[in-house]
Amino acid sequence: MSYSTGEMRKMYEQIVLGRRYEEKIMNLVNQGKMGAFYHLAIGQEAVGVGTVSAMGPLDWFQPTHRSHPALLCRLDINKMTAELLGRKTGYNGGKASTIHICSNEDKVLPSNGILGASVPLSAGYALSLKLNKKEGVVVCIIGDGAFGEGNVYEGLNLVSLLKLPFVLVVENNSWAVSNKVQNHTSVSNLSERAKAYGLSGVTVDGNDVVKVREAVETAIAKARKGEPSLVEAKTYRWRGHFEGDPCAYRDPQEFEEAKKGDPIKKMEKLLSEKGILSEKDIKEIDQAMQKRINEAFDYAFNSPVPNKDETLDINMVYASNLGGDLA
Amino acid sequence: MKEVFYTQALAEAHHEEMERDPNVIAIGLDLQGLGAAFGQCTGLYERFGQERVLTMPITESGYTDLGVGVAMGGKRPIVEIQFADFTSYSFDAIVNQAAKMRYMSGGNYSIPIVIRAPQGAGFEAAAQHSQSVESWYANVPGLKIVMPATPYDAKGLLKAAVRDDDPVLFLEHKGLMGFKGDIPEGEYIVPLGQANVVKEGSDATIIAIQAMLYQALAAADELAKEGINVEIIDPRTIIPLDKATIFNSVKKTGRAVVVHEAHVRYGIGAEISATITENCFSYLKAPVVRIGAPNIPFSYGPSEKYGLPNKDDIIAAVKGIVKK
Repeated sequence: MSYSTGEMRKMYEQIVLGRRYEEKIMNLVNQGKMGAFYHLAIGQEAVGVGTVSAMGPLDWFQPTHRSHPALLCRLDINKMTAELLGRKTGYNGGKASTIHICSNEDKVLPSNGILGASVPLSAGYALSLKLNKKEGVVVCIIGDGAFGEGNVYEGLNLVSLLKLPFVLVVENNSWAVSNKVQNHTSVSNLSERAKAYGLSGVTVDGNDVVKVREAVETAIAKARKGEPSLVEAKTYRWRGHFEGDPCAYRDPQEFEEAKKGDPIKKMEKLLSEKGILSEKDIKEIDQAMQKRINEAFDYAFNSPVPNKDETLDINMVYASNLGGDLA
Repeated sequence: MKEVFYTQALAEAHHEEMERDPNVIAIGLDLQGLGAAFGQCTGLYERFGQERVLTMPITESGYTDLGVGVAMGGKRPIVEIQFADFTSYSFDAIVNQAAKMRYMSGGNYSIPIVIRAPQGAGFEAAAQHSQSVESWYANVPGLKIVMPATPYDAKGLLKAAVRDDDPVLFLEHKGLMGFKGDIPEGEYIVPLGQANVVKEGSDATIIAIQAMLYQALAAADELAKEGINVEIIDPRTIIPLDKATIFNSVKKTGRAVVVHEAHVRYGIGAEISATITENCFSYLKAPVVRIGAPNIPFSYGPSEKYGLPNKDDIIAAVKGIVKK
């Protein structure tokens, strides 16, 4: 084991935080207290948590719309929750939710609603780091579905040609909305596609946070030397595409099988065997995470929604108004 | 003053702005080999090298997004799309990324990018190399759209666009690349959002967009022989649009014709016309007239001209509303 007890425990806590956080969203959506525009990563937490845990303080994270557990590793839970609820106190003043959330201060690039665009966009950010001679690697996550976009091909070709400090993590959760990965891709491992760009690629068990972290750390180390690469992490989406999607298209048998790969159970087994985690620890961590989550949602629900003037502020659209009529 | 081609004026703006600000970089096709398809970047690669003049693979969508991303990191890229028709491939990067990033991010990021793209007909190059695309983008909040008609404006507006902190779609006109005009020896800027009253007149206002300026000037000469004295306004930038200058003119003349090379249906002429009607209705002596290309794709070769508005269309429109 290459990680300290503290690091292992931290990763476990983040996975639990991610799971309980999204269960909270799930419940609130089902109670009609939140809208339906949330894409949950329940069952996939090890990918996001492993990836962000591999990153250093100078590295930039490019999330997807399904990155709550990863974002919770970097962002303040109160401000993030406020953003998810469209509140003024959120990271982006309530204009983004997880579909566009970002925080320049925390080196989190904007999540994107247009699948695949985040690859050439965050490659551009990596280019700025390179041109400005700044340290730091951009780690960009996309899903298996987004990998079908031409923009991903274009972006990775540029990443390779320009030798950018860049890592692509493909979070293969087996589903592109309601289309199974076997039906939308012609290779058995998406990492095979790396070859087309002259990059190296590996496939790892995306339910194993340690394996994800190790693979991404290796990729980041290479990227720092101007050698971008790709890591595919295979996992399984437990919920529907969005919360509210009843997932009627899924074979229940397949889901039961997939749940055996639960990243939390996997981590608990490993940490219990190593003597890092007791039954009591598991309970206490769970309670502590629930408390943080409840406080964050209380904070968010008690925060004001932006008013009409703040919502329709032309100065939020344009940085400089040099004359003429912009509105 | 000195006389330069439109394309030279653009090249001068690139050289001066890259010299002035080390954060300005150029991204596009054939910057190293051709110096851009129409010479707008001549000598740039030789002078500033491959770190600041990035020749791209043919991948418009990817490299426009790359430009947006590098702008988020503090650079000020000038991204060239070789023909404006190909901005269809960059459409997402322009309308969903560059235009919306400041708003969506709650001000975390502004995108000081210039996307340059030569548009327009005149090269008899058929339906996918001849379009004017401004109205594809004019409906999108977050963009500024610049359409220079003269070498003077091409240089001055490009310099202003590079210094602007917002995404600017800078639509050059292919048919004007070889046009000559006077520009000052020293540095100058043409601010965005200021229309140019090219010719003063009293009987009707012609709002002439980009290359149509020259058709309007030719029409004005002929109309003058018949005693009709038109005022010609070149808006120069359509976002921001200098409405005040247009309204003042229309309030004076009481008549307006809007002419552009893009297709007339849902073209920007409709927007300008509606704005005039809403704001100057009591001054109008006749309905505002729109002139644009017919709603037919451009043809190849010598027959291209049938798809282009010309001075005769303008003369007929003006005569139709000026009852002497």
